Amino acid sequence: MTCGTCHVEAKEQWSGSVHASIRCQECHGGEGTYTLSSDEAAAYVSRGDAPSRSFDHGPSFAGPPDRRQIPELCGNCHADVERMNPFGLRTDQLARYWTSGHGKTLREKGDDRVAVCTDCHGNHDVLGSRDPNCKTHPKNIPDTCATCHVDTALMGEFDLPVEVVEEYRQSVHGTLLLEQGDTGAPTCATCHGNHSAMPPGFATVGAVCGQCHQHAAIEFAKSVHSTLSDHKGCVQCHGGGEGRHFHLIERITKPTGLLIQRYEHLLASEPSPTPQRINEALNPDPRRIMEHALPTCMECHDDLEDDESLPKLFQLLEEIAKAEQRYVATARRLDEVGQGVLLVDNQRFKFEDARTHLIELAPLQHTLDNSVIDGKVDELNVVCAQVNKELDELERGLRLRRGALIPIWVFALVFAGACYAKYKRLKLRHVKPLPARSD
Amino acid sequence: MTNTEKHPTRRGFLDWLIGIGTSVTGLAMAVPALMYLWPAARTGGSDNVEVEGASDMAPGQSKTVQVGGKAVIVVRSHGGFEAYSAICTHLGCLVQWDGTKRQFLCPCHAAAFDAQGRVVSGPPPAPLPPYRVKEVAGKVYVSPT
Amino acid sequence: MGLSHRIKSFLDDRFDTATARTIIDQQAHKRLPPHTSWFHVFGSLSLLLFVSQTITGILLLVYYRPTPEDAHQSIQYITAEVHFGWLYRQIHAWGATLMILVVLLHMLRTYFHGAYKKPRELTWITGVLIFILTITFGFTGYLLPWNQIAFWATTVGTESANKVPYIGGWLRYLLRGGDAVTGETLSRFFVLHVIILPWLLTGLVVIHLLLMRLNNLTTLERVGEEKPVPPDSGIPFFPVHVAKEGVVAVLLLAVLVTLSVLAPWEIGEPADPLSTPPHIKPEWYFLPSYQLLKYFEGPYGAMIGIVACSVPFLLLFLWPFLDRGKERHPRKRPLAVAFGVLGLVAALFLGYLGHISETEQTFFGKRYHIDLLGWPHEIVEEQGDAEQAH
Repeated sequence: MTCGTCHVEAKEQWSGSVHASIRCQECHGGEGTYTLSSDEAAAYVSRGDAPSRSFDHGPSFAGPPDRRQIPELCGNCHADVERMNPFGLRTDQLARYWTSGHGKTLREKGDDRVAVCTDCHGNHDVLGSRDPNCKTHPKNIPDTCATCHVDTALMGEFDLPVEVVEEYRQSVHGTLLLEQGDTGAPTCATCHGNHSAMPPGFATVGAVCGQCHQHAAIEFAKSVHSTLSDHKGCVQCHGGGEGRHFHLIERITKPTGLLIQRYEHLLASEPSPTPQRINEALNPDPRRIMEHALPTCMECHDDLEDDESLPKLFQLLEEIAKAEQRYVATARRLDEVGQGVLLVDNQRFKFEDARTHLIELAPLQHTLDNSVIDGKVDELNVVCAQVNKELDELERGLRLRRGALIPIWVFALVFAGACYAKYKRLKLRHVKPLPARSD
Repeated sequence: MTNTEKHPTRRGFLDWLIGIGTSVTGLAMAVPALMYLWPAARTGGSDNVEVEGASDMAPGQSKTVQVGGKAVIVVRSHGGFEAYSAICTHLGCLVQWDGTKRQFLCPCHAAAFDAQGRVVSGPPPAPLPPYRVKEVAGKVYVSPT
Repeated sequence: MGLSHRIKSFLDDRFDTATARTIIDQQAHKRLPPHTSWFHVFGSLSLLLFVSQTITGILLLVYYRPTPEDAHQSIQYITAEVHFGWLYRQIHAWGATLMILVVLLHMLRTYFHGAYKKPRELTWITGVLIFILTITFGFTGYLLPWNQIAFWATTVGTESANKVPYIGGWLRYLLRGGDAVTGETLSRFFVLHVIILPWLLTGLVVIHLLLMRLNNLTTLERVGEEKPVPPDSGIPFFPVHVAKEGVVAVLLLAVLVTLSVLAPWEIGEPADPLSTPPHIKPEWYFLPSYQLLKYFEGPYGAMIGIVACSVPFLLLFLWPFLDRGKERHPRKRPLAVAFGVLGLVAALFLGYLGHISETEQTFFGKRYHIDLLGWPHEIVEEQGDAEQAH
């Protein structure tokens, strides 16, 4: 008899796992095969019921491992370079684990309520993280972390907020991963690390975000805020605002496609909106950045009357809003002109530069430097003006063509009239009328 | 017969009108045709050259295209596409991209330029001039800066 | 001595110019029958359009490139960048349509005047050939811009060749230069359009004109009883008839430019062999045959359909030999006139059905969906609402 004869469920999970090639004894000790008489077998082998009495697995049997022992137990193989080499797996997970919040609490306080390997990876049912059923598959990570991190009682003991998971789910990253199924979107582990899970400090949050948002990080580093020691970096503005726990990461400006979408939506209801209305439609909440950031801004910028940085900020936002308006209006015009007989491919191509500049504006905002923004907006304006000028010329050409029809027809009618008069005259001169027909 | 002789000036005017009409029509056909044949200056985006099969290029691979009659080498890096003049600034040989060394190598006098076109070694007096790369709707275009 | 004088004496020394001049004078001043009317200008207008098509065609050839990769873009280049390129492209496209129309009108005039009767049967037959070549010009030229609508219209058009009995598959393969419409098709259509058809048509036009000159225009007298054109009351071709044609020619050119400016042909999307746009229909001159073909289904039906479509053309060829009546004046041959009118009405009706098939139309205030075969189905509003609710 083997282990699986009695431990049916464990055997089933194990045989479908990535560990199907290693034997039970490597984790649990014991013999592996046991010889039992039929009477004994009948007594021990349960058919779904608990065995009627305990079975002696032999002297080497260790039983279910203690939670405190699990990291080292897994590390027996997973920290062994020689053993992991064929599988191309890293071997630093154990070392990293001991640096994590989980590992430190386990080692220093002996508190085994923290996550150990099996909590995230499973025990008998360890799957590869590419398997969509795996608990460490990107789409499942928020749920896996949530098994503990939404538990108010448990988190209360460690003085950790339970709202973070829900904030994440609502954040731009969470919706990307969970609603749009983009497995490239960051999960909990992307920012906190997985085995070495630790919240980044505010001093290093820029570095964490900057791994993906490189341009924004570079531009932010140029701003005055990056030099302040008590500034919370990216999450100061993008962390969801007051009363949140920095996990409701949100985009404050809008992607370009959305701008055009909003503009066309507006045009559907109002054929000729005022610039004011366009601005409202494109930026339904232009001061939203302040709603998120203002309370924290106020900590330093407490004297709104005298503080000159706020008017500068509003001016900067105004510049960007104007640039956006210009962009969508030109995009719209390109489409309209291109629908007729005129070819606007060249203009469309030039206009791609405007799109690039508009996208570049997003990271540049982080400098909070009006001259930088003005420079970029100027570049965008130049492209839009150039495109508009060329469209004007094309349309002028079309009007010219149509206008030319009038002199052409005047000329044709005069010329045809002259030919007709000539014809009449020639006929009189050359042709004698037929005698009256007899029939 | 008598009719026409009574109005010699009117007849003259009519012939004059028809003569003018014929010449104007002839000119109106000939002049646009000549203008049509005169080579049109390509404007706007026409000097943008599409890099054929750019989407099939793996990071680290390169492709040489002609832009305005000059050879330009397009390299796919991890961030996107970059393009430099493929004409070595030393004596005008065409450089090749070495994906493993991440360098442009000139076969003539063993010059090397780094991935940004800067001279790494050899006799070239100047870096490789960069070209503009635009990605539009999945297609990659190169144009002079 | 003036330059023209010198040239004249140079030629006189070497050639028998006196005879040549006499022939040219005779032909130029030849008297046409007295009843020559405004309806007699369509022949010359066809010729004018043929010349216009040749000139604009040669101009377009300067920039056009007949490959699937370049064709569409080269047309775009002609339209957007080349000076007056748009004008020549539009005049060529509209000229093609007008030429077919004018050739048709010319045929109708000839038919109703009984001009195909002895001795002018051959003139008529070359005329029918010219008509067919003109349509073939239209069909081959339509593909050259290599846009979606042209690509798929050609796919459908060449597909119907498959229905020809016995040799259909072979014919389609030959037309397309393969199993599907590809660059090969573009190449052979291009060669047909710019080399083979122009020379064939030029040859036919020359023969047609020679025959017309030899027999002069028809009078409306009975066959065999035609009197020679009276020397005084006949209309001299030059300058009298030419002046009349001048009037119409100037107006035609103005119409051509106006259509080019106000109703331009769009270039459309480049051909995509992987996506068929909805509602592919041929040009108006193919609509009657297109609609007629739809009524014949199944392997034998399709065969009958093709035969039914070729019957009108066969009739055109054989007509001078089928209608042996001596009369020419339309009032004296009611049967032939009735037959002609019937054919014309049938073609117009079929063409109209083809035009409105698979669309929605309003008749007498009610919306109808016109099906493939041209039957109207009233659109009931409730049903539409119910579908929306689903």
